[in-house]
Amino acid sequence: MSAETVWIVGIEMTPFGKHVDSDQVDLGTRAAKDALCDADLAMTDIQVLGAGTMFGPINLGQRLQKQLGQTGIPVYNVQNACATGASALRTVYTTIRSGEAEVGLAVGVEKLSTAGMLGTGAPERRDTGVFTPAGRDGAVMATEGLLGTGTMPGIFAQVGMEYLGRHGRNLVEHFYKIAAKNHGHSVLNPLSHHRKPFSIEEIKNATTIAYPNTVLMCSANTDGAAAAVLVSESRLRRLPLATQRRAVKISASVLRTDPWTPEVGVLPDVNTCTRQAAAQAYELAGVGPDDLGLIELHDCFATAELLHYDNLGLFEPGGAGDFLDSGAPYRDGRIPVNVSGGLQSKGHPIGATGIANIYEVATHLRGEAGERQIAGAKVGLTHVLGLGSTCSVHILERAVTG
Amino acid sequence: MGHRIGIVNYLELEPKPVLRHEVCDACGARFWGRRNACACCGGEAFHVKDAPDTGVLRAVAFGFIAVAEQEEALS
Repeated sequence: MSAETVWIVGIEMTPFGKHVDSDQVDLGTRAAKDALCDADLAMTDIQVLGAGTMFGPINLGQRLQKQLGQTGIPVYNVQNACATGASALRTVYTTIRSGEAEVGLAVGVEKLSTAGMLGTGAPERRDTGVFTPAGRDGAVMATEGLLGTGTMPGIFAQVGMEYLGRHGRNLVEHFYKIAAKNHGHSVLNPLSHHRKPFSIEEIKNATTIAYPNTVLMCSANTDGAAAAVLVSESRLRRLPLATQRRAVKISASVLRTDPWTPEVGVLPDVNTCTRQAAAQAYELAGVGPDDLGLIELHDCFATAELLHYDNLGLFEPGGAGDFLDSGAPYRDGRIPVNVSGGLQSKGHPIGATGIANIYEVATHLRGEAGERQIAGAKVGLTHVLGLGSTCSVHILERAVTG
Repeated sequence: MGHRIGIVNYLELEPKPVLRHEVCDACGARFWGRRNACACCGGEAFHVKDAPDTGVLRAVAFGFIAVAEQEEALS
């Protein structure tokens, strides 16, 4: 017996921004209730819950149940770096594919608006003048900045510059253009944390965080949540026709981690797992890059977006700058990328990001994206990358039901 | 001059500074630091080898920490 196709029948996200008076449970509950309402289903219909947060409370799923309904269903609490939300959704997806459940709910949430820089490498150690080897590598003091960097800005600066080094026709200016594109896109998105366009000169001249990324080229620290209701094919056919017409097919749901490569001991590999995940997703869905109507990819830094054009196989290797210069990833281009504003402008509440990306693409496929609607979008791709590394790619398709 | 010690145990400073790899006996994969097993082939036996002291610089990061400015810059 082949596994059933899985469909999204409800999906919502909170506005991303500063939610001073709401905690993670408040935000997650709000997104979940909205997704259930969108699906016209109740918590009593849900047979499995996946709950993702990176820095939020332990047992988030059970805490959400206490606000949504304690029905005794299985709960999976998921933490998987920046792929946390996508992994929570995929946990529900695989449970339905296995036949264990027909209806499931995935929720991702984070509060980061007051967070500082993430990923500061080795734990801080006070240098007392006594140098005692400690830890796995016998470090005698904090190594950050002295022996490479574990900071997100530092790593994504390096991987961006490494790409320019490998493919000489790509320029630092391409990174500035990407940030300008995404900030420009967010102006049309009412759920985006920031909605202010910036010129390339403003982006270039903003405070440098880690060259070449300036403060306007880094993902915005944000609070928010997103949630999705998934059902099996057979359950979908028992739902009202109006629900079936708005359903979005999950044609591929892929999760990959790094294979070992010699370079990974020096610099985290953010490319290989994305390349492998994308290739697997295209094969599973039976589509190729030319079929995509829009993409939401993991632009945690402007440098990352340029790499991922290439990693998603949108052109021959090395051509990311040419792809950008052609206008293809702009909202009026051939394959619009990050029309939501992306992580740089919409924001990046880590646990929510993977489901929010799916929300964005699903909303366009339903034809419900309002002013920012990409006309005629039938197939879309979402991508998230958690450093360490783990990558999730989803390919979504519009329902063809009459 | 006082006694010099490496910042990590795979950096040796005497008699001449050198980074030292853990090398998998089975497949030759190289690693920094203490290993439980080889991430490439699963092998559990390793030997130590000096890393080359020449190479190609492929990327460098210059960081200036100014995260507090993000909200102001985006507003």
